[in-house]
Formats: sequence, C-alpha cells, structure tokens
Amino acid sequence: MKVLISLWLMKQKAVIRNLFRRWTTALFTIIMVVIYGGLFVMMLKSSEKAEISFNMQSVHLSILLGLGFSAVMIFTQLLQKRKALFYEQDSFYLFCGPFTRTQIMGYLMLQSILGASTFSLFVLFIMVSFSFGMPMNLPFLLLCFLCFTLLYLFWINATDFLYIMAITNERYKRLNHLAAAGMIVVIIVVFLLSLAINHFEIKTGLMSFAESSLFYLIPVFGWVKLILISFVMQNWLSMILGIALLLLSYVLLAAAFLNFKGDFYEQAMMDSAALTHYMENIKSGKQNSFMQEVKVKKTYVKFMEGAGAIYSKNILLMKKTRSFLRLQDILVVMIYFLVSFFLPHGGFPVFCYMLVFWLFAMIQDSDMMHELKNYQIYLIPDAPLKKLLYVMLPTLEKVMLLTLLAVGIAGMVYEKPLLLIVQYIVMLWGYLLVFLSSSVASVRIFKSRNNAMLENMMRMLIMLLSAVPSIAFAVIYVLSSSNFSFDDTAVSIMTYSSLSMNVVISFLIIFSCKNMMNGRELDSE
Amino acid sequence: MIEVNGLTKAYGAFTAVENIDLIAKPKEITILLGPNGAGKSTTIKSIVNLLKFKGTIRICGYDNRTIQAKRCFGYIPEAPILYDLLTIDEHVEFIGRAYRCADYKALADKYIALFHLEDKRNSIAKELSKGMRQKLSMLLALIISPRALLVDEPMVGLDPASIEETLRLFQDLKADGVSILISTHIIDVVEEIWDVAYIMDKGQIINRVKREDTQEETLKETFFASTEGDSDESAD
Repeated sequence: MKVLISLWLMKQKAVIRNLFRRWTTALFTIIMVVIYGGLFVMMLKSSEKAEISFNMQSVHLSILLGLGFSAVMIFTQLLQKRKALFYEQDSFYLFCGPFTRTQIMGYLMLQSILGASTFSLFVLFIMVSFSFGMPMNLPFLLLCFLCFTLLYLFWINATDFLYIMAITNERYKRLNHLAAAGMIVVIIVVFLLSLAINHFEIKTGLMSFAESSLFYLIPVFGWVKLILISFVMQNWLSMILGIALLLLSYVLLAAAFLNFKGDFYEQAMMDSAALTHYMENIKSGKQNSFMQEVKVKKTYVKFMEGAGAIYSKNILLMKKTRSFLRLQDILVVMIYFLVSFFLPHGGFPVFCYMLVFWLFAMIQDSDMMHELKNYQIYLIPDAPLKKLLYVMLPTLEKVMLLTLLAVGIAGMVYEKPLLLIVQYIVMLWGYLLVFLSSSVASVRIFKSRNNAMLENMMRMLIMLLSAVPSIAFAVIYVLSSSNFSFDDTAVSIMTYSSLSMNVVISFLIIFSCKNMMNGRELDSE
Repeated sequence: MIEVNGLTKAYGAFTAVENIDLIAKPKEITILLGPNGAGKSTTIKSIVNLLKFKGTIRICGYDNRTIQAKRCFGYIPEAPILYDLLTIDEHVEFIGRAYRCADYKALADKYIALFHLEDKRNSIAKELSKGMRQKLSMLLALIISPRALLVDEPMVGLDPASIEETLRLFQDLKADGVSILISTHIIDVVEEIWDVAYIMDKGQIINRVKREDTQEETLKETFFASTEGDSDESAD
C-alpha cells in the first residue's frame, strides 16, 4: 500500500509541478490562489467574530442550499452512463501490477478524499456567498467542511461500489438508477408528508419540508443537516447521533467496498480506457460533454460560404442533436424560477439576477468553447474576425432567445410592466455579450494550456473585470445626478447605458482576440 | 510551391527547430524524414501557420499567414480532425463552402469512389473505422484542389491496399503539378515515390537528397548514413 500512497502523492506533486512549469502559468496560478484564497479568508474573517444568528430560517436555507447543490452533483454522477474507476494509466498499472484487490480499492478510496474535500470547499464557498444573511463562525464552517466532505466521500465510493457491482453481474446493471430513484422517492415522501401536515399549502409545506425534523429521515443528506442544525442549536446529543449515523454508513460502505469479491478487472480496464479517450476528446475540443449520448436526427441546412460555413455547420449540429433548446436548460430555468418564487425576498428581479449565473453556465457548456480550440477552423481561408464572430453567433443567438423566453414568461407570471421586462432582457443580453467575449479572451490568454479549473477561474475573473466599467458607469451616473430617484427614466438610462458599455467592451475584447482564429496565437509557447 | 527560409521555433528554452531552409516544388514529392523528436511535426505545423515561428514561409508565393496561402494548401494531419456527428457528405459541404470551391462536389464524388466510401456517405464520422476517418480527412484536404499538400504521417491506420491507393494518388497529384510535402518516419512506405528528401535530426536539417543523385543507395541507407543509425528511428 505504501507504493500506492507514494504513487498518489507523486501524481499530486506532478500536477503542481506542471502548473509551475512555465512562469506564465505559475503567475496565473498564484494570482488565482491569492484572489480566491483571499476572498475565502475575508469571508472567514468577517464571520469569525460573528455569533450564529438564531434566525433559524436562514440557517435552514443556507444548509439546504449546500445540500441541494450537493444533491445535484451527486445525482449527476450517480446517473452518468460513462463510468470508470480510474483513468487509463492508473487502471493499467494497478490492475496489471502486483497489487491485491484490497490495495486497489484502498487506493481508489484514498484518491476520492481529494475530490470530496474540493467539492466540499466549493459548497462552502456557495453557502457563504449566499448565506441569506446568516453569519457563520469558524467552528460552524469547519464542521460544514467535514460533513460535506464525508457526504461526498460516501457518495463517490457508493457510486464506485454500484458500478463494480453492475459490471460484475448483469442483474445489477440498473442498480445506480434504483439507488437514485430510491433517494428521490424518500425525498418525495418526506415532502408529501410535510405538505400533508400543512394542509397542502405549497409555500408553508415547502418551508416545513426545509425546517422540520422529517428531513432527517432522508439518508445521509438528512443526517448532515441534523448534525449542522444540532450544532447551531447546541443540541449535542442529536449532533452525536447524526455524526454516528453518517460515520456508521461510511464504515459499512468502506467494509463492503474493501472486501468486494467479484471479478471486474477486465471491464473496469476497458471502461477506464474509454473514459480517458472520451475526456481527452473533450479537452481537445473534438466533442462536447453531451454529444455522445444523444440521438442524431437527420436534418439539413443550406451552407453559407467562407467563414459563414462555420455558422451553418454549427446550426446543423444543433439541429441534429436538438441542442438549440435542451430540456436540461429549460429545467434549470424552471428551478431558478421556483427558487425565486419561494425565497423570502424573491421575485422577478431575483429571478433575473439568478439568470446571470445561468448565462455563465450556458457559455461554459456551449460548443463555442470547443470550436475556439479547433484548428480546422483556423485553416479556413477567411478573415479571422469574421471566423470568430461566426463561431460565437450560434451560442449568442441560442442564449439570447432563451433569455428572451425565460424573462418574458417570468415577467408575465409576475405581472410586471412590459418596459421593465424589456429592460431586464436588455440587461441580461449585455451581460451575455460580456461573458461571451470574456470566454474568448480566456481561451486567448491561456492558449493551449490544458487546465480546466484554472481556465474557469480565470474566465470568471475576466468576466467580473469586464463588467466593472458598466457598473462603474452606473454608479457614476447615480452619484452625478442631483435629485436622483429610481424612476422609470433613470432605470432606462442606466440599463441602456450599461448595455452600450457592455457592447463596447465586448467588441474591444473580441477585436483584440481576433487573430487567435489564425491558430498560431493559440498554441502555447 | 512551399518555401521555408530560416525557420526557427522555440518552446521556452527548448529550440525545437533551428534555421530550417526547405523547398517543396510543384511536380515533386518532398519527404521530411527524421527520428522521433527531430522537429518534423513542428516544421509542418509552422508551415500551416499553427505555430508562431521566426523566419519566412511562403506557400504558392504567398506569406503563409495570408488568406491566399490558406486557400491554396491542403493539410492532412496525423490524427484526423472530424466532427463526430457530421456525415461524410456534410463534412464535404462544410469544407467545400468554407473554402468557396466551385467544383467540390464533383471532386468529392471522385475521391469518395477512389477511397471506396460510397456506401458510407451518409454515415456520421463517429461510426467510421480508423482507416475510413483517415480517408475522410484526406478527402477533405483534396476537395479544395490544393496546389500544395502537406501530409503528416499519412499511412497511419490504413490497410495495405489503401496505402497503395494513397501512394498512387500522391503520384497522380504530383503529375498534376501539386507540391507535396510528406512528413514521416516510416521510410519503406515512401521509398518508391520520393523525389527529394530532407533528413532532420535534433531540430536541424542534416542532409538534403535528390533521387537522381543517389546511385544504388536506398533512402533508408541514406537516412541511416546521415543519422549514424539513430536508434529512435523506426525504419520499418
């Protein structure tokens, strides 16, 4: 086992060494760590002296936010069709090398710790950022970190365990679906019970679901909430009960995992190779994360000439995969709408501001990011600016249309005046332009260096920086106007001036990045 | 014609190729030979303008950064770059329209028949075998009627019959006046078709050989004499 532990440590060392191999990447890494680390420390500092508020609704909502986010991540992983225990290299050396099954399983569990704690930190970040006015002190944050780490560790290992059972025995092929369905059934039952207790009043039923002890009946998720709520309430006995349940479930799972006797090496190695190649293709932009899974529809587009052919080709791909309007995008918007509807201070503006996060995620997942790194596009004999605009256009059109629909329908449900709806649509389009151009800029800056996490962090930073001028403009406008009041005219002026600013900034960024579509500016030196 | 003058490409402190001069003339098949890590791929990628470099590169008389240069060369990479969900016909239409080619459909029909891909025209790329993907990649480089053709390890994934067909195709293109530059380390495959060979080692051209200047000596013998039997070479 010592050898495997040193292999794991060596791999982590190699990842860090790779980040610091070139001074540019090293500098970016340090800047990112300082910025994000600083943000985190600032959050901790500001909450260090704070006492935990006894506004229990905020406490429940903050914990639920963390749990909800975790549930989405966990369920996504649990239901993923493409699964493997390791990447190809690890699987080759581990399964072919002189290691016992228990050692291999132990190694697998060991490498899950890093993933689980990273996820946990991310959840913590989200919880602190959207803490619904709830101040959090250091011991509470530490306990959150431990609980969420254990929660992820349990589910990562449970997913692996269900996977090896499925590949060992055909009868267990759908076990992961059953586990997910089981969890959903429990959640629905608890929810229905909460509704029934509250005479089927949806809003009070939802609040009761979030706050009542019934939630603790949900395995693992409920126990995490039990621990955290008990800590806040200083109900130590309940807290110990929650910890005991969580630990016991993990120990039982680990025992089953380490002592698994089935024969799974052959399939596990094949799946590892398939997953590795799949991930490599995604990294190199040859395919995106969902294309492999969808049915391809027979359809047709009339191809434009020159750089326009890129646009036609992307529209054709969208039509073939029916990805212009995906069910998952509509679902996310609906979830945002429901959250804004039930939040204590929610409503139409909150929904629109939540859509800003959705815009960010949509661009991350779009084909545009892959296309920006595809050198077949660089070889097309046309002006680089035209190529860049045609690469961006399908994503721009798609997200603009979705934003229009989402804000339009939500505005009608909230019975808002047409002018206000238009203003929010225009504001979101402005952000969309900035986000799109910042994504282009981040690809240009990072060139062909492959570090998705760093790239995403940098992208977020560029997006924030790009949005600064329009925010500053709005502030200056407010400060310089004597007798300023938030009437319709003022809001209109701010919206449209901010949009103009965003358009100008976006085009400046795009123009300065245009040469990347010749390719040579993108391969890192 | 492909003209490379004083090409130098460094990755940080490491110089991958240094001061390379190279010409691939029309009606000639020029081979770039060298052991692994000699700088062949860096040279090819610099020529197709995917890398920043020092020196000058002209394709068909145009600076390789210009649209005119892009319009006149075809590039067949070692690993085909294809859209998994597009069919062969859709790939053809995409490239044909993007390059504004007038007669791409007729040319595509010709090459589809030559590569025996007729019954796969409506198959999406991810359903094609490795060899078929390689053929599609070649087809896309050829439908633009290139006056210069750059080929990186062309025979990877092809069966023996397809290799023969591809070699014949290169000779036909050469007869039509196309400048062909092939980068490879499998010498046997190009032994019958080469006209000029540049032998690279450690980022430099160490020998330039013309077929008519070699007496009875094979390209393989010339190569090993130049590199003193570099063990990295897989001269199979």
